[in-house]
Amino acid sequence: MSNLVSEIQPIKIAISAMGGQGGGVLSNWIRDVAEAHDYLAQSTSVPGVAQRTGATIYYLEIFPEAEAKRVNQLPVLSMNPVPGDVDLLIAAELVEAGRAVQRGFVTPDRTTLIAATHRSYTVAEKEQMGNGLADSGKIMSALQAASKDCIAFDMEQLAKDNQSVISSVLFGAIAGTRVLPFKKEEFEEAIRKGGIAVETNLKAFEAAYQRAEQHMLETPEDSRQEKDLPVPQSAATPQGEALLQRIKGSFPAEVQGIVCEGVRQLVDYQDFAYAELYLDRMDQVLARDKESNFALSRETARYLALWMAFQDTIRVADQKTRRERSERIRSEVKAQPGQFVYPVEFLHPRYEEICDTLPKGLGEFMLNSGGLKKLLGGLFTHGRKLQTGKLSGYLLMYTLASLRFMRRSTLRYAHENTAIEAWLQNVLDLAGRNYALALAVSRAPRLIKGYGPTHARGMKRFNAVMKVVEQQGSSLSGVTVQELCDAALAGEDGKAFDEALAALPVATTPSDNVVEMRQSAVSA
Amino acid sequence: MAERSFKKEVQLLRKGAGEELHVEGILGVTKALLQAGVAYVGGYQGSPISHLMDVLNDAQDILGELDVHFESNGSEATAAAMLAASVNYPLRGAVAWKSTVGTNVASDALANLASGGVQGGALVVVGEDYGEGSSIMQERSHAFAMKSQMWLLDPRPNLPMITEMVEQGFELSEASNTPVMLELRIRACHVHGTFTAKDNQRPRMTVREAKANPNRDYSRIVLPPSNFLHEKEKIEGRLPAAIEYIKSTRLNEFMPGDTDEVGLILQGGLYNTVIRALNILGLADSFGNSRLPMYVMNVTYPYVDEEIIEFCAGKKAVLMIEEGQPEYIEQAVAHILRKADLQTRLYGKDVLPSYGEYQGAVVMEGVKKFLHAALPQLLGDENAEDSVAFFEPKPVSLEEDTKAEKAQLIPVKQLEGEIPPRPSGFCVGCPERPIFSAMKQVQQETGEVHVSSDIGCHLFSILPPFNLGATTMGYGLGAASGSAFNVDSDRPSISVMGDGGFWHNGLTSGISNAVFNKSNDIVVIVDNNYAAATGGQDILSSKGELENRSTQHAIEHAVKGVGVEWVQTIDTYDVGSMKDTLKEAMNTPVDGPKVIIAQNECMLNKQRREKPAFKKKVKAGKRVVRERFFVDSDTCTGDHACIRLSGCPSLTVKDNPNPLKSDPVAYVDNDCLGCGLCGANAHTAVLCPSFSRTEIVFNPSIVDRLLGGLRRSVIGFLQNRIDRRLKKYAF
Repeated sequence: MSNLVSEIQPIKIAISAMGGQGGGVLSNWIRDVAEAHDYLAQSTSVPGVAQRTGATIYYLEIFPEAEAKRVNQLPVLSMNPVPGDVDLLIAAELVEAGRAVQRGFVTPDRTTLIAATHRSYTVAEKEQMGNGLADSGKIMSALQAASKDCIAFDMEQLAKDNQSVISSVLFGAIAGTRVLPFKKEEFEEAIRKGGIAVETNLKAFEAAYQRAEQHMLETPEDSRQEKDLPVPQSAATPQGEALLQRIKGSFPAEVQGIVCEGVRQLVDYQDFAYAELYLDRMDQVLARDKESNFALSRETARYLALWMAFQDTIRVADQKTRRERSERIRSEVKAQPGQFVYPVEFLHPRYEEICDTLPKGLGEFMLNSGGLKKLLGGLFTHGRKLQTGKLSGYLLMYTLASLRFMRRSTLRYAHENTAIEAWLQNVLDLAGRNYALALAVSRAPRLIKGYGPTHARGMKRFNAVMKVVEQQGSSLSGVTVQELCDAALAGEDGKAFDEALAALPVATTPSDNVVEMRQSAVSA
Repeated sequence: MAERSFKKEVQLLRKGAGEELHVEGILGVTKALLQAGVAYVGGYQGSPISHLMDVLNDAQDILGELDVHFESNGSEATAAAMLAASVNYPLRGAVAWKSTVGTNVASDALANLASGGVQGGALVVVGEDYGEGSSIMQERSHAFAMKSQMWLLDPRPNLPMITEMVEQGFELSEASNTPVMLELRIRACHVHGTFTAKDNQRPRMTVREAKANPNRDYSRIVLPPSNFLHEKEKIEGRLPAAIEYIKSTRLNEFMPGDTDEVGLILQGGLYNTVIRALNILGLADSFGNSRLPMYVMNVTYPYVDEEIIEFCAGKKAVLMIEEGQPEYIEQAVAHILRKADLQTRLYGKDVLPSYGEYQGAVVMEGVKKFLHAALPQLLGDENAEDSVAFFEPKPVSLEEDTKAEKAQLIPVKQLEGEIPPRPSGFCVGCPERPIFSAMKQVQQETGEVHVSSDIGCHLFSILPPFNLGATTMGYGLGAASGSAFNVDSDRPSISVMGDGGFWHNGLTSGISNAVFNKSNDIVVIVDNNYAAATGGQDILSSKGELENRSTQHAIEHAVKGVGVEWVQTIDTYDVGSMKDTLKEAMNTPVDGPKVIIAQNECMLNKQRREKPAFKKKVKAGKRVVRERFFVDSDTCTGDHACIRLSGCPSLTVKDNPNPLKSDPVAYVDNDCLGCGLCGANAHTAVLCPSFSRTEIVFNPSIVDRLLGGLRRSVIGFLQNRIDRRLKKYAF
């Protein structure tokens, strides 16, 4: 004989959001709809420190009032979701949706999942020196596998498109799934009652409602997937056309796209002759590439183009003076047509960069002259703010950009060109003897990034890797070089890299080798 | 100005008998205090009871109408000591704080209060910061109740019950002359529910009336010989009186079941979780009607032996469901059963986890283990074996048909390593972030130093990307926790303290201590105008003028007042000056502690004030300039050094626009407040030329228009030339 009197269960709703995403607003709306339409509702949350950008869970239970009246008791509602016992899970961000799955709040027997697929990157992801982003594709397939029904699309974008906030989009999606026993108008009523930004919120609600009704499921693009690079039908200029014909004539189909992109960027960076130099170099690589997939040619094409278009002061000035850039800024800051928008550049030119931009001889002289450095160095110890939306700043940058004509005689060019040729020679030498190693070496320039001290640090580590390659020759395994490069990108302090270097099997006498390697790194 | 305003909600506090209130737990508690005729209230903010302080603060008009005095106490110790007003007068007083940390701070005053006892009801509302969402060490308030002989209420977490227990708390306190603690768990503080109001009561005696008619009783003062008498009173008088009151008013509840063989004993606060667990196991319905009888302890200290014996007698076994450690109640129940020579088998932490929060799944598993051992037939066929659908994820392949019938088949393993942690961190534009950017840069130059951290938002410095700070010993104790390092060395240690912690105790425990002991180390005081971490409450050094509080007392004056010779106040966003000042502090020959006051306002609070003002100006046609940062995605090389010096949520990444590159580039989203840190870092750390600040002009003046037109035509002309060249050099 049991004393249980009812079989009706509450509807259990969890909202997984980050502090400041409006999870509280959404939970109030749901509560308002329920309470206004014959349901009892209870909601809880964990404010406090968790609100400071951290992940947090809002939890609601709603229960039909009619049943409470019939039994003449109040339901006992829970304050925390129980894994495997959630009817509706709303996640305001993709990784938070994944986290909810991980915690068991999404199960295939009962949970309808509404997931916003945009990413708000965590510090752990974005502080990496390379690409540390979570794999959205993997998370998406887990979401689908874990849920009974999954509605997922870029809700942040939809909110923006409607000048609204993500909570209204999520609310519309909830209504569209029809998991909750309320009519569309009843949801809308809650937004109206809230009285804030009613019109835009309702627009966003409507757009999301329609998408949820159609069970929209969009998989976000994966940033790590290699983009398809097209080979143009024809070039925009006669000189360009000649280069295009040369590419089509001498490179296999697998390599053409990436080489075209390299040429496009180098013409934009310097001129046609410079792009020809690139193709000359690529001819040599292709000649030694005996693998059917031409991996070495493709990777070398990529890193050679990027390196040849090194970011010198001339290039930076070039980028900052273009019309396309002004327009991009205007659109990013959402400027109205005609509104004045003035960028202020935070630049820190150092004495070294000034010397770099001068003709090789003069630059070297100035760099090595202690007296001059003492005299002029003081001018370059502080950062400068340059207004490129105003005349003085723009004209300075414009003049600097026009030094492009003499780039190939600058000190910086001489340095970079020597390093490029040395690296390329290594790739060519190794191609026939150890393909995997050549491939790893071809990718090593990914260590060289940034400006100033950041650039110096990357260059130092690149040189250390190249030193190992030169010392150990083709007996070295490609995997080792790959791992060295990964270690070089694993931390700014270089601890992981030093450990990886120290762990190398040593070809000659150990101590000398290490010392020499360090010295070479320092001198670089 | 607190982060959240309750100005609208506090009007609900005026509601009278019979009216229904739909409110948050904390507001319900405030209403219950007024209904109980409280004469004075106070406390110290901290999650999960920060909102209680905010509500009281916003309700000062209503409190005034009822002659209720409200203090924003300087610390939990102050709040506890304030309850001394209930010793000699029949004044009902209530204070609130975050526990156990607040109770730790308050314990000296609480112990003295509990020794002499009270005449008027004294209630301490403790927000038990335990389990999910907690930010402190995991301990129980229970021990404080036991050691000082105070009573501890742990009501079932629904609003009618919580509000009822506020009133009962005062009655119990007066019936037994003992201060009473009302424990509310995190989610109970923030639960949104419904209860029926009663009329507010004016205090029987107001504080003003008490002050006009002073009263003293030597026997209530903690000094020999009274202190010895107090101990006797506690055991022989107050404890029996409390037990009698609890029994006669049935504060603890006996819930019937349909079996006599087994039963559950539980803390009231866990009731809803236990019912849900039973419900999933098919042992209770949604209304709490359960097959297992329950003894619900809404009073978890003192124990009512007779009730426990009554409940256990005749049962084969009982399960004690008690959250946290050590298992004080379970030990007591075992003791009671043994003394009464009852053979009822006691289960508890042997089938439940011995530590950690008791959420639904954990309780469900414990109950199942208990029944398995004590009365398996109750579990039914499906549950009798180990086949109960507990959440035990098994790895499944994504290629298989994963819409399998069993709920356990969750692709959890596939997500391993794919879900990065998302701890709390500094908000967009936080003025504290630049301090740690500067410290990180200085350490890159000088080598690492020992950094002692403190409680407050600034403690986020211990997380990536800053990774700064070795210990945190308690609110305001940053400098104190670095005091052992007061020895000669070439690099001084640095300790950090917030303004909230500074006024709470840091001025004496940290700064005066450092002066007295001739420390040469560095103390950075983060002065952001509010107790930001607890929700932006005002403090002595707040810049705003308040009607009921005295503010604008500079930290620098206080520091100089206790004898600090070397003190500098720096704008936090000025990373360059911050770096220089830190280096100067490390090298100055001046003796004594070096105090750096890093000053700038909490951005959350500032935005709350300035955003509407900005919109208003734009609407009114006044010339205003909005600033935000921007990264040139062509110029950015994707090294993310800028992010490793910032961690701002607004400084994020996006796909690289260059199809040859795969590393994401830095990107500033539209939440950017233009605080300037990105630019300052780009300068001080010589990062890269990708950062620009954009100035967006609203309602331009005539001069703006003239100059703007000129700039546009010249720059436009040159950009046309560039375009012509690009057309010539196109592929």
